Amino acid sequence: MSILEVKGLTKSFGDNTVLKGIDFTLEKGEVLSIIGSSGGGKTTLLRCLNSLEFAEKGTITVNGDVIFDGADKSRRKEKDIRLKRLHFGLVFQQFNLFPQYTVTENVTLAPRLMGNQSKEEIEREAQALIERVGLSDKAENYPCELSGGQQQRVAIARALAMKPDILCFDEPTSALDPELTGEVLKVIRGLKSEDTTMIVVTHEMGFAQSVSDKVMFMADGVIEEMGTPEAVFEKPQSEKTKAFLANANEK
Amino acid sequence: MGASLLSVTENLFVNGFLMTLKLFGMTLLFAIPLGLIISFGLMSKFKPLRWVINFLVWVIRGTPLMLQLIVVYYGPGLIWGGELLERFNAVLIAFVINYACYFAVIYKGGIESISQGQYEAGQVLGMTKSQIFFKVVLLQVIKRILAPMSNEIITLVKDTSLARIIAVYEIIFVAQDYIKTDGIIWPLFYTAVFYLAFSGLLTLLFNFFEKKLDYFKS
Repeated sequence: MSILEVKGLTKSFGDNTVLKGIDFTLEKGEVLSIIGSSGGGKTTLLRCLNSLEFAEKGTITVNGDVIFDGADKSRRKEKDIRLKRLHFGLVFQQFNLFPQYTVTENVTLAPRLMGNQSKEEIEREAQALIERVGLSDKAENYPCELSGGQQQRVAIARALAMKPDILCFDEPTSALDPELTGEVLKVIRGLKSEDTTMIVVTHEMGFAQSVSDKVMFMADGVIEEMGTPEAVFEKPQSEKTKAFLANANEK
Repeated sequence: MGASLLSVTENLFVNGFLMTLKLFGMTLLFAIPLGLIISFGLMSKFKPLRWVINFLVWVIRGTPLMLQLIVVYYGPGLIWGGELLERFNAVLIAFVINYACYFAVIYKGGIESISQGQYEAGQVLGMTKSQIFFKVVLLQVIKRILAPMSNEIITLVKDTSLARIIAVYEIIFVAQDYIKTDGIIWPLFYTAVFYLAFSGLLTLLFNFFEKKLDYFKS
């Protein structure tokens, strides 16, 4: 059974249809990179997965459990949504750390509010996550004392603390200076394992090619092409993909 | 009755300034939370409620506080007959409503200035709406509204003198009595010292809070 199955996802903002029937599946432990020009619907797709937007049509199934059905509007109660979105984690382009909390507090806040674990357990897991993103020496610092790359690494630890089935990244390095993107990509690369399923919206083609199991190229709200990195990057079938990749290579 | 500096100071403080402080403190005690409720009304997605609250804020901010005091004190008696409200209670009600409306507008500005990303970060981490408000947004809002709130609160110190319009014995009222009873006017001027000392104290307090919240940027 696939960990994630998306079927016929359609989303409009007014007259503008941003997603025009998105279908794909993802297996546990896979890394999916989504590439494509701005306005192609990549971010909207991630936001739909994380219940920050609601599609008009289509279904989202996680581990065989339908967590979203565009046809069924009765299940949009806040509590329902809140529990279902925990299947996903999201790392934002703009980090969105909580400025008044230290690195440790940023990571522990949500688990503490959830109240399923003991304080000691939460603290121990948080320190392990902070170590995993290489920021143990900054654990008691505030976000304003960190570089952009460090902030984004904290955001990754914070998302992992909720143990999502699928971790999503929305252009995680786009707001960073070029010399800081490497450290964040390295951390994401380091997360790759049998248990960690990830979806990464990115403009970093080299990263997408080397880290992904699957690559999705989106254009104008449809999946123009999807396959292994070799297939998409080396033998693209669609004219749009070819044009996009040629353009990306020039940069 | 001789009017030495000491006796005037004592009389002004005990019989006037304590009332001023009481009115100041109780107004804040009720207006700060009431303002939050009103600000939620101002931002409500339910349009009729938003209109009603906007209308209320327009009326309260658009008319003199002095007039509101008179209306609260004499109004109910004129309309329904019966006993007037206790003078202090009438003043307190008028002050609380008036200041809550000003606070509400400040809160609204502060709340709306917090980026959508903070709410979304809380949402994707599975927090409830109230957890996001109290644990994520509130302290950032407080930091941002500290300066406009200090303005309003210092204005409140001086607005308490309006209570004399319906004969509540606050400090100016007591000082004015010296003109009639002793034929001296300096106690009235002297009240300025009390106001200055108290607003100076508040300024220090707000500077302290500002420093306290200096540790983060948002």
